This record gives sequence, structure tokens and C-alpha cells, in this order.
Amino acid sequence: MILTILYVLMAEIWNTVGQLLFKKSADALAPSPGAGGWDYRTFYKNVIRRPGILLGLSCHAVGLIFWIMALSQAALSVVFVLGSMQYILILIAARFFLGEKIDGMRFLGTLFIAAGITLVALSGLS
Amino acid sequence: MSKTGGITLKIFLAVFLNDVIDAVAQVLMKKGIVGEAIVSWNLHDMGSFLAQNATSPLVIVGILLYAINFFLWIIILTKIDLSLAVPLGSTTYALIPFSAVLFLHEKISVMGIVGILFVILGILILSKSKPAAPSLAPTP
Repeated sequence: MILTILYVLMAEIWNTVGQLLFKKSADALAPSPGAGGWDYRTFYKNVIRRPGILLGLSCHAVGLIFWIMALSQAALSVVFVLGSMQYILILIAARFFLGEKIDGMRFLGTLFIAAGITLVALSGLS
Repeated sequence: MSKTGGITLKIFLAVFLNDVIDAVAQVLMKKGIVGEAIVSWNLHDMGSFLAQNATSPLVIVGILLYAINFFLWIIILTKIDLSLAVPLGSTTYALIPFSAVLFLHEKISVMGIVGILFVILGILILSKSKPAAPSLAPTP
């Protein structure tokens, strides 16, 4: 069980780092408000060339390996329930590394969604 | 300081579309997988599994959908805070079972109903969250 928790946690840390890199890259690639709207072709080209994006994808690949290692250890529902730690990690990471303001509403809303998904997963519906 | 904003209906629909594409891709890949399942974790078995499935049309379509979804997710991230996008992006785990109950008349337990209500409540609460004060960003 401890090993499963460790694997899930590792998967989530890697996925969170990946999402942070995606978000940083997305912010950098978004056309600035005065720049006359979106040129999607240039945007897509820049996305696949951006080191942060490629690094983020690699982080997700590593995360996936840990996720599979967790799945090979324990039942899907257990891994799924442990997986809701991801939301808390994202909140903390977004607060400290992206400067996003986590107000009470955002914290409470995330908590409700995480709890709701956990309940649905436990009820065996999804 | 983040320069992206809060949840709008357009963004909610984009995130929802992102989730639906993900679900469709997974079903297609599941249906498209042929041959023996991997039973042991050795490179030879995994290699032949990949070789068998790399040409399966449904698997290829699934992977293409994943690629489309990736770009859609990056576009979403240019418009919305990460701490809003991630919880919003997982609501389909509850909303798709909900539609299965609604349209396919699948049975649902009390626990499942409570879970779905929690998720809907969570979305409503999140939509009340203020974006990270765009007024702090230098406006031209």
C-alpha cells in the first residue's frame, strides 16, 4: 500500500510539473491583447517548437510510467481515489509557481469536485 | 502574476469538448486494440503488442484525437488559470456517467448521485472564483 501511494504521488508530481510547464509556455505563446488576434498557424508552429512544451510532454511520459506502476500494484478504484491528491498539488503549485490567486471559492470548488469524483469512482459508475 | 482570467461559458464548453474528445479517443483505442493482452512485463511482449496495434485504424484515430486534444488544452491554458482548468477538466468523470444515467437509464447508487451533485456544486463554486486580478497586469 505504501508503495502504491508512493507511485501515485510520483506520477502526480511529474504530471503537475508537466502542467506547470504547459501553462508557462501557453502564457508565453498567447498573442498579447494588442497584437490583432490569433494567428493559429504560427501558434501551432510555436507550440511544437517550444522547449517548455516538449519538456512538459516528457514529464507526462514519466508520470505515465509511475501511474502504470501504481496500477500494476493495486486496484483501479484505489489508484483513482489516491489520484484526487492531484488537485491539491495543482492548487499549491499554481499558487507558488504561477502566482495564481487561490481564493476561498477556488479552494472550496476544487474540494467539492475532487470529493465528487472520488464518490462517483467508489460507486463504480465510471 | 498570471494574466489569464476566470471561467466563462465559452471556456467551460471548450474544456468539456476536450474531455469528450478524450473519452471518445479512449473508447476507440479500447475497441481498436487487437491481439493478445500483455500479461508479463517484458520488452519482447510489449514490443509485439505495439507492433500488432500500431496499424489498427481505430488506434491511429485515437492517437490523432489525443494530438488534437493536446493543442486544444494549450489554447485553453492561454485563456484560463491552471488552478481552474485542471479541476474543471476532470468534471467529465462525473458528467459522463450522469449522462449515461439520464439517456441510457443505467442504474445509479445514492453514493453516485451525491458524487455528481458534489461535482456540479463544485463547478458552480469555481465559476464564482475571481481571476487573478487582471488589473495588476500592465494594460496598454
